[in-house]
Amino acid sequence: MKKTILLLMLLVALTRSNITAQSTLSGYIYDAQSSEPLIGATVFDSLSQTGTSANEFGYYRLLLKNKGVSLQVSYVGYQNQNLLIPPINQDTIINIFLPPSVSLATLTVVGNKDNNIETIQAGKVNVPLERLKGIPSVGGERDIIKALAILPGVSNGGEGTSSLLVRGGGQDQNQFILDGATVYNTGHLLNFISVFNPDALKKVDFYKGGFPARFGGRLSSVMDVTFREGNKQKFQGNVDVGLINSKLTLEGPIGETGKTSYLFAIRTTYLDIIQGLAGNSPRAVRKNKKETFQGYTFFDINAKLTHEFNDKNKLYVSYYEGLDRFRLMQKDNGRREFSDFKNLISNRLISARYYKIISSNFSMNTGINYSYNASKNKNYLISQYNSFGNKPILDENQDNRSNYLKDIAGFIKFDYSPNVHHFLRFGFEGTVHNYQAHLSDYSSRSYTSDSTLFQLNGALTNPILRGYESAVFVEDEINFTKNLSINAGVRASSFYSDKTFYKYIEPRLAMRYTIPNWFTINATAARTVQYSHALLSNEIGLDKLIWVPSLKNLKPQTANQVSLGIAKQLKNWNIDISLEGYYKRLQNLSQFIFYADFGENIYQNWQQNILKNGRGEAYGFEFLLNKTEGRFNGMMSYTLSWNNRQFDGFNESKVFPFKYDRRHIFNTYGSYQISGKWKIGALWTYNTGFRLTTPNGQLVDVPFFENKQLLYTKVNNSKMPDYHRLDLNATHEKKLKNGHIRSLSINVYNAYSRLNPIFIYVKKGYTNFITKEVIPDELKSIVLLPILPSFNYALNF
Amino acid sequence: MKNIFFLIAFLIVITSLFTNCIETDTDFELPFEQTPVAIGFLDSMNGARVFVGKNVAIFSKDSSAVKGATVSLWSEESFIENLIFLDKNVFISSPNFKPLPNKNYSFRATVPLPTGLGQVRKDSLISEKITLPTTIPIKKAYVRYMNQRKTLVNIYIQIDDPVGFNGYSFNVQRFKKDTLFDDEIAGNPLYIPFNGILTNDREFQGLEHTFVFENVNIEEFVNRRSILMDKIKITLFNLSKPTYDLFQSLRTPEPGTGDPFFEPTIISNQLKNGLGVFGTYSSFTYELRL
Repeated sequence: MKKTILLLMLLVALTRSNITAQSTLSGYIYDAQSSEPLIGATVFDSLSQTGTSANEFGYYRLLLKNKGVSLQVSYVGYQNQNLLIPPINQDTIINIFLPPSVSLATLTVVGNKDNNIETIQAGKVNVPLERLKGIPSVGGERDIIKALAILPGVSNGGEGTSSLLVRGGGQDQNQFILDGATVYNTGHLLNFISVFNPDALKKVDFYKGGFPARFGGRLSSVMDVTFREGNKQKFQGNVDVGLINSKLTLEGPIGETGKTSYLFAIRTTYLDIIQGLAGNSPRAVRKNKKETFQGYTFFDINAKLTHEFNDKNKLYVSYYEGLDRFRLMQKDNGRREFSDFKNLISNRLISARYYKIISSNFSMNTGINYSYNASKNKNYLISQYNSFGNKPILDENQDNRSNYLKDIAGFIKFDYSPNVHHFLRFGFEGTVHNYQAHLSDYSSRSYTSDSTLFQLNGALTNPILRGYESAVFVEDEINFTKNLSINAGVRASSFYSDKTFYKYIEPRLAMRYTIPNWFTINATAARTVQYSHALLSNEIGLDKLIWVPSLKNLKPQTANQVSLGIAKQLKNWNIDISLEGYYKRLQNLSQFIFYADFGENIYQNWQQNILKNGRGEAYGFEFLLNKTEGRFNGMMSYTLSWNNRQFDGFNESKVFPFKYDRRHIFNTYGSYQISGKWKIGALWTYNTGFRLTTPNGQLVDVPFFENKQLLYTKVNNSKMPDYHRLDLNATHEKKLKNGHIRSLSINVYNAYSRLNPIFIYVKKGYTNFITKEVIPDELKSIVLLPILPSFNYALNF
Repeated sequence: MKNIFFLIAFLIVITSLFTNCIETDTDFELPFEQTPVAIGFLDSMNGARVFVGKNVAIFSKDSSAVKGATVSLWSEESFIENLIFLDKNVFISSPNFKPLPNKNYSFRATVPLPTGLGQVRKDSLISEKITLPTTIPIKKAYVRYMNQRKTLVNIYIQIDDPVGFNGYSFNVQRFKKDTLFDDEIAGNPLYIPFNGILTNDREFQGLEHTFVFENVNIEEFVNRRSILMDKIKITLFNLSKPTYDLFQSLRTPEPGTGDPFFEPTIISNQLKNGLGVFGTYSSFTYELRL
């Protein structure tokens, strides 16, 4: 710790010699039409070749050396503003209003042309939301996580089985922050759609390496999402109707002063109604018209209230509520059995933040937030196998299981720019986690038409485990010269749970050096600590993360990661190229023991059913080619990676490939603006198949065992068939006479209907009792979506 | 407008058709590597029983049995006896062999396997040291009736758990004299405590512990006539760690029989030059009159 602080002081001292008399130019950058702050808008002085970007509140700050400046202010989707400012000798506030691009896009810009301000933080990706409109998606629903998954080093686990996987990390190792609050469940509709409603998003920053010290609590990535504040000048709305889901967004000012604004967005699906049209419904099962029903519904609400007391004091209140419900109903008249399974996942976030500009170079951001994530399974089974006398006996069983995680957190953070070379951030944050890994109640009853033969009721509840997590951090963004910049920081974090106190120092470093007229070198090093473990289980295909705390005998997970890369901007071609290598070591990983008997309720006794102190190693190379401007824009990414795990006493303590050890991941995406109205896009993705454990033989006729016994001898010894698919979309946008913009888009997911299996299994053979035909064992695969065409109709009013 | 309506209707139909997952055949190739297999047990009641053979490919109709295998029993480096070949490729010890607890034994199995087109015989020698665990007596066992008809009972079994790892398996049998459920009917001589309750002493290491079997049905029906059992025989097996691990790993449900998303168990392997386990267990039997 001392060494790190000394290093920071030395870096500050090294740059102090350049300080001359200076003044500060600061202010907000707004959308000229809605007065919404433009988070991440860039301000660049072409004379001194220095610049900055607006922070998460749209506030920028530029230190001047008593010289005139020629400012270029830019933001994706807006017209650039050029400002010539004469020499100033006192702190000055200038609020800048950028007008949106003139018309329907005939020229698309989806990156940060001509400035590298955003890339000072190596390992950070500013996700251009504009690009989302062009990326084909499931059911036409633009999705931020799907857009991230085409970046190098990032992938989805697979259809319906997981969320984001970053540089060899697991799906629990990514931190999703929504207006300052942590989101624990990020997927709707079997993770085909993320919980982040694209119509409510303002900015998304994604870090896959070189994490700034202000972020902590996860090992592999950070996705920092900011909601829009809503139009401060007039009421505005958007309605988007699709086949799978629809959205409504309303926003506007409250009162006439333009000081308060709101945003409200709601999204819901009606997939079950669509399925009902094809005769697939619970009613059809009850009436014996179908044997099985699978239904899925979800909704989410995003709301935000912003109040501006004055230019220096702002208050933000954000709210998110989401619910997913999956239902599987089966009726087997042959076996006289009926089952009804429901899975509910709910998410709730509330955050309140207060932003204060203390002085021209010093600001404070403080707030509190609440995050709740719960999963509940309801299982009902009724069957008739026996009879009592001549009366049939009905066995009725109900089993409800749930788990949740509830967080209450508070933070205070400061930004301070002592001079043109330094931008300091420091602060404190604390969270109280409440983990409930298992709650259940059950009832079992056997009865005939006139009497109850057996009845049993009960409930099992694990104690709530509390974890107290806190951290202090300091980071400094240092610009030594216009070609060399460093973000150095340290985070001191601690966790108290189970009468055990853990504390860690997490140094962070990200460096960027540009060789003029040649290329840029990026290097990062970071240590990260994760105090919450997520135990992954899978119930009828639904990934379920059960969050549990670090305990006396379950150490916090840690990761050390380094990366080194080069990047080049081909300005004449509007193309960015980068190549990066990374190496990551993971420690104290945990997972359920594979042979944990699910029938014995592993969740209740989870501490006895997990592997601990696991180790992981991931390394690879990433290549990215990105064209950000022009009628045609797109990107191509390739990742070559290795990813292994090791647990003592498991797999003979030998190293085995991680489930998502994918050697090759290739994505290419392109979008072409045919005319002012028509735009087409295509995305092709290719992943090496994920790993799975398959039997490498069986024992037949062994008298100790009644049946054939499959032999599983090595973990993740097989590889699924490679995954690939092509998605297409076409969008037609038209400005109506009343000034509203109407768009109609058609999407085709998996256009050539590639049968990508989500799992493979041996289907047991049987003898048909009527025909006496012997059906042998067969190898089968399950495919979730062979092809899915859809359309969306959207109206901006 | 009419065209748009038809397009929407068409897309609704297509979407509704494709929002269900589908099961298809696959040309996925399961890995297969032929390995000698030996699974043997040494227990205080029955002596030694060893199966030797091979694993076979998943869709093969071949048997795991191989011809020409031999198994011998050793104590430290001293030869005790060659095991006797029984049906189904199982070898058993002679009737006068009684293993002693805490004494080191070893099996040595020779398994001939074809190695390719020429079917050249290649013998694999599989050997492993084993120790019989101590017999753990049941201190006390009793029942409580759980319903008015006295057809359901809770069974309580009290033991003193010795220090060190102990795996437990139970065989709870219910009997009624002079009926179909009579004690005198012979059981399977190759029975091993593979099915039934399996647990270990992680949560009560070195302490007194009471196992509870809840709502055990002691009523059976024959020709619609109710028969209430009059005796419960409890056999408590103390399993060595390799035996416990093997049973635990083999008990995981197979894909296709239940949840196909399950994570399979890695079969616990203790042997070099082959696959399998030489396990040991001791047993103690307690009778309860109802």
